[in-house]
Amino acid sequence: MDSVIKFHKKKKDFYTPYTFTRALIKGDIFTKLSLVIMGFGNIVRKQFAKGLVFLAVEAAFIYYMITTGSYYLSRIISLGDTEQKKVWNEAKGIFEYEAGDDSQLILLYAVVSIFVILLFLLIWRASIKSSYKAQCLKKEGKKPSTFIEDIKDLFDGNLHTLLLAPPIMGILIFTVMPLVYMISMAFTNYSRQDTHLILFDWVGFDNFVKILNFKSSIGSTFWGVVGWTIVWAIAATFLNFILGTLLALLINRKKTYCKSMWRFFFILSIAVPQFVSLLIIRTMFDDNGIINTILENHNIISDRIPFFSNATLARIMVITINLWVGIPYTLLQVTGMLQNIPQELYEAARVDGAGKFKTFTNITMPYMLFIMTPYLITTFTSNINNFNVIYLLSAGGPTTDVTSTAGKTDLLVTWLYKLTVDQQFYNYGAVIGILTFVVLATVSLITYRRSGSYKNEEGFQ
Amino acid sequence: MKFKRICSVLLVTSMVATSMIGCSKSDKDDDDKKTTTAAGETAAPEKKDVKLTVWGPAEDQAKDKGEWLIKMCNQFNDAHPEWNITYTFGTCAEGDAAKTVNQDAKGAADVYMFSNDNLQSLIDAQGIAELGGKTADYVKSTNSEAIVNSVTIKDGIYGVPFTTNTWFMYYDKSVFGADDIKSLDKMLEKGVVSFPLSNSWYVASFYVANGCTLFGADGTDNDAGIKYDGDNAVAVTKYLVNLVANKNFKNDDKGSGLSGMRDGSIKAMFSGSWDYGPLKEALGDNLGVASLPTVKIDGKDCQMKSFAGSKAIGVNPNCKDQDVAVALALYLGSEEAQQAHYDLRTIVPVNTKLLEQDKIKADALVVAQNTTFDSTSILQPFCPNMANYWTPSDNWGKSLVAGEVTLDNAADKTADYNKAVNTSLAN
Repeated sequence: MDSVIKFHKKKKDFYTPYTFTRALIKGDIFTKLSLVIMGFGNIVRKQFAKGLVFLAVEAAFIYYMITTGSYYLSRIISLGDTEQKKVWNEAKGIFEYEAGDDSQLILLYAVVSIFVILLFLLIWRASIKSSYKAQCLKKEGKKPSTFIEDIKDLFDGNLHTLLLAPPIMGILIFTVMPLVYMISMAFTNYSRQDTHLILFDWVGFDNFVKILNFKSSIGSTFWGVVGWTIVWAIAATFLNFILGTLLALLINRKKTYCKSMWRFFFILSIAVPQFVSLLIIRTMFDDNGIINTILENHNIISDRIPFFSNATLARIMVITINLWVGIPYTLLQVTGMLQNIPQELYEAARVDGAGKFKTFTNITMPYMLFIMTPYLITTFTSNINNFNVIYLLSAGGPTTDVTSTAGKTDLLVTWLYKLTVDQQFYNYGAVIGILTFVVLATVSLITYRRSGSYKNEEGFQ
Repeated sequence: MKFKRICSVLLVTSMVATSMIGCSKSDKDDDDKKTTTAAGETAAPEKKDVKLTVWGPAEDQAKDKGEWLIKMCNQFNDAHPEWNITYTFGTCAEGDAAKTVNQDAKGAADVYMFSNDNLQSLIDAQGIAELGGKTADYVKSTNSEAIVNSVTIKDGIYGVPFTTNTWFMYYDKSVFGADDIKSLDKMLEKGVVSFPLSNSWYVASFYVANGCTLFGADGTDNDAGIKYDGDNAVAVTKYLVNLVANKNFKNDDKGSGLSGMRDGSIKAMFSGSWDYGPLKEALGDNLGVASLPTVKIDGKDCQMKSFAGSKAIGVNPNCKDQDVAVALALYLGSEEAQQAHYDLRTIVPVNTKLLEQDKIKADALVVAQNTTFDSTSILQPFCPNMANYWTPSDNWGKSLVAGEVTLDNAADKTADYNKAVNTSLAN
């Protein structure tokens, strides 16, 4: 009930009499003409600059659609079928090539065109509302705002629109639009299979069917990788959390001397860039690396230990090394939190006769979990997508399965990289990207919604 | 309301910008057409400005290695007064050409160097132009037939070859005698031998040795597929299982062979001409270079056969001045340029006339590489289905090294492997 009331209240806050539907019903001839000639209503009401801007948008839009948009939009179904042509030029003694259609470009420009159309529709609607507003103000005997007044208003009453416009445009152009383009690839056969790198077609949900199917070779690889990704994400997240917490508690104990020195030591590993530590560790534990060589030279082992070439060992290695990289961060977080727990709580507990263990389970732990749950969820998601650690350490290997493109430590994201960059199966890459997103979004939303931090925002204050 | 106004202003800007981009693109296309027709009609008596992007491996552009590529390009410019060429150089190793060019064929180099195994995927991505006329004639007349075939697809020649691309054996003369190097098994009795078993480019040599074929007898029959299905293939697998178990065998991975040769822990290794320099430095006169040995499979001596191909100069079909680019490609693969390449970087030439030279004939490296190419190699297949070969074979080599394949499961595993190299990974 609460939220419903809130929602209505919010809507009321933004109430305006100048809506699009009203403009259509109550607008006069000039407003209605604005439907065709944008900005007409504004120009009639002497808002020249504004009207001209609207008109210019319309002109630019029409020009764009004629020169570029219509061409690509008309090919969005076929994605182009003209092959590259080769003509022998006797005079020069060379083959001259005439470029054929490039499905990738057609798809890209078609997506851009759709966005341009959507934006144009928004502005078109705005122009009609604006013209209707001018009409109403004129009727009431008020003077519609001038262009300069509008601009001044942007620095005052409408400052939020001025400040929000650039980031929103940025997200639309650099995130949403490429995303739509990439997602649409999942429904095509854009891959090196059967030479569809230049000309490709829509195939509907075929790729999804193939990937989710246990029996196909790519499907069985997919489920294997999903399984390991989840094991990895859980192990990496929780081991990091548990061990980091233990370390923090240990250092935070009253009886531990030189607390800052210990913290400094552990945090020192953050000072070395992550990728550098990972690459060095990778070389050290290589089959011919220094660790194996030293052990062999001292006759401790007779056969080299296959740190990264045995599946189980490689999996243990990546998880362990990830602890090395991750624990300092957890240590920092938890230490900060421990120092923030009100001491009165502990004192009260002690007065009531609670032991160390009781205070930990009833005060420290709940307090930490309350604050850490959202953090844990973020860590979990970033671990599922932890490209660096896996790619730089084991590169997804060992890859000993002849039927699979993924190795035994490949996560969805590193496998996606291999599928696209090394194997050029762009369509499957897109499908995996989408599926990863779906899984991540579901897991994070469900866990977050159930966490104390969300349900009881003011619980610990 | 004002929000929409802001939006409108921004949209106008973005729309104008987009339409500008649209305009400029079509304008450029028009320009292209104009210049090509103009050049065709008037044959341009005055100097024509040409911009060319050229890609080659880093070693060919390194100062301490004589900047072969840059030198040759400048000489070409001097030799053609009718063109005033401005070069942009980029780094791309021959073996990575397909990967790099295919990312954006239109933005890739106009002239680049590639390994011939990249050819099919370059064609698929429309990143390489066929050569005809006198360029094709030159390629045919100055190279052996095997070399010409290595850059030919469906009767079309796609590159100007400048060196052979294969691998052979380096060994320590103080350990192995002239008789030993004829048989891998004999060598294993005498010293440590390193072989890149986990590398798909090398592992096929054992299977080919025992009569397995890739894409028919001459490696061009796409429908024939890879035939690793008989008892002969299983026998090879068993041989490799034993090889891995041999104390004197070391898998060559991430340069471990080269470093082993340097510190003396490894006495023989398999690699190509690119490792000659550092090995010569380490072993001096003890360094021996030879073509491939035989292996004893099922009691009979089988000749190992490496994949052989060539490296060649290719031209981008999206290039603006195709005629200049083709002429440059031809020059970079010419006798003169191959000679310079050999002098600066000991890149083994393929030009038949150059190979007649006494100095080159006497070069052990050239002899080993060319004997390997002529007698202990097969033309590396590059038909479309060869794309399915690489990843499973890498994995196969790794599973052999990791000991996952044993004498007991060799038959089953070989069958799986055979199936994997004959099907697309995305099925």
